[in-house]
Amino acid sequence: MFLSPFLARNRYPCVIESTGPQAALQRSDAVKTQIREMLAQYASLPSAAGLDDDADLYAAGMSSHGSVQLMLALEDTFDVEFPDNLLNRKSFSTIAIIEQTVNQLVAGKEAA
Amino acid sequence: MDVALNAQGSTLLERARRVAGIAGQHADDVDRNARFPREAVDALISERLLSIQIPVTLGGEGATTAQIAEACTVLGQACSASAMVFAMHHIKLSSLVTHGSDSPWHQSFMRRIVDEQLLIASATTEGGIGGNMRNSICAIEVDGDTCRLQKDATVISYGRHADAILITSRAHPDAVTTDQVMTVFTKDQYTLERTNEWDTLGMRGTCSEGYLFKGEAPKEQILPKPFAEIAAQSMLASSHLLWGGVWYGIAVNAMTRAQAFVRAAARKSPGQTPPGALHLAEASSLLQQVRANVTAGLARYEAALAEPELLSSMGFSVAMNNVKLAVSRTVPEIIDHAMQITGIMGYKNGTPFSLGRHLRDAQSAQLMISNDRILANTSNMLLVNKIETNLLG
Repeated sequence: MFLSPFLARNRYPCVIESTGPQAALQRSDAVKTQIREMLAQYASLPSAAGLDDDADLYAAGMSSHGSVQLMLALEDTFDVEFPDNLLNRKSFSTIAIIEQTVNQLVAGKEAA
Repeated sequence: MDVALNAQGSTLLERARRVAGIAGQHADDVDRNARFPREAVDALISERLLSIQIPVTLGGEGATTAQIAEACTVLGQACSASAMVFAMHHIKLSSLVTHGSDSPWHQSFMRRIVDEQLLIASATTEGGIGGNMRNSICAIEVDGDTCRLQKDATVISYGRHADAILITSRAHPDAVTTDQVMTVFTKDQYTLERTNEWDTLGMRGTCSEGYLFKGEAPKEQILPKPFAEIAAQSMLASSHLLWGGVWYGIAVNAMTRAQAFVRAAARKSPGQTPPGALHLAEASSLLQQVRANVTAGLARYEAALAEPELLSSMGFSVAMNNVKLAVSRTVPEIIDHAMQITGIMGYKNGTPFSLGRHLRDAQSAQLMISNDRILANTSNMLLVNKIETNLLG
């Protein structure tokens, strides 16, 4: 996995361990909060805290450089690696899509 | 090249060659006087080559990017400026065809391009943002059914000679600089006030002057997709591949001249290998690299066209960026070899082996979208995108 020099792994509280539908919902919200914080910190999107889950991040001002910095932060925080087939505009276009993708990657890692 | 015949029974290649014949006659004058290649563009119009990319359903010929790139190479061997005007026109058309096919206004505009053989320019650079076309300062203002735009467009290639301009701006006055749209304005809908001259080292005939653009048009002329998508899905690939076709053509013509020089020397002294022959061999290897890069890029683009997600993937962007980098760096090297072969005859203007224009025109390749900017963009993507490990994709 790629270790970004300016990030310490798992700096966010670990929220992906509980189970059950209610827990899944809470977990999803917590991941989205983390994504919003990372968007603000690494993708130059200070407005991220106020963005809807389905808001277009590119329209909100995320650059391609910012999206790569976000990916690196996500890879480091969740200890996952984005496969090349997910490295496209759509996969990083909204907070909801990013959250789904991260959850899939984390689930895939745990299943492996 | 897979070509259909037109009504007169000519292939696309034959039509492009006829235009090249005319473009070549005026290339030196176009270059010397930094004037628009009017004769070549008139020939493109009479051969109806300005609308070949438009889908057959809208009256065009549905030419592929590979076919258009081949025409760019044919023209590039005769007159770089004419070839570049042709390439840039078709880069704009690729945006219209890819992103305007569901919009009634843009459909009817494409029919107009076919019927009237309109020449389309674009205005993506702006004073105050440097060369980064993915940022705009100016914003389009929609007022009822009308949109208005004013832009300090530091470069509009052949702007004065175009029939319409595709122009980028922020999507609305409150939008961030990267939230952009692209709008079509036809000639009767804008004014251009010249702000910059175009007196350059090469590519002089593209007349890429700067203008203050002021336009007003019905709002349905705004393309219905964000410019970020247009840039990623049609402009990136068509720019690098069609420019690649032009630059390859320039290199081919330099090599043709160099080879003629070597062969003439060889005929004069049979049994002896002329001194330039080794340079020719060296340069032919470089020429093959350029050709392989462009054709592989074209094949990859055609394959990706069926999958919009692949088109906007990082792997695809890296590949297209690499085509541009390699071709733009190698073509001047090839011309330099050709110059070593032809010596003073290549250095002088007005000989059958003259290479000054080729050398000057080819220098633009590394600057039109600066290679440094492209390297920065690629290096960012390579922080996450993996190196391709297989040979055949």
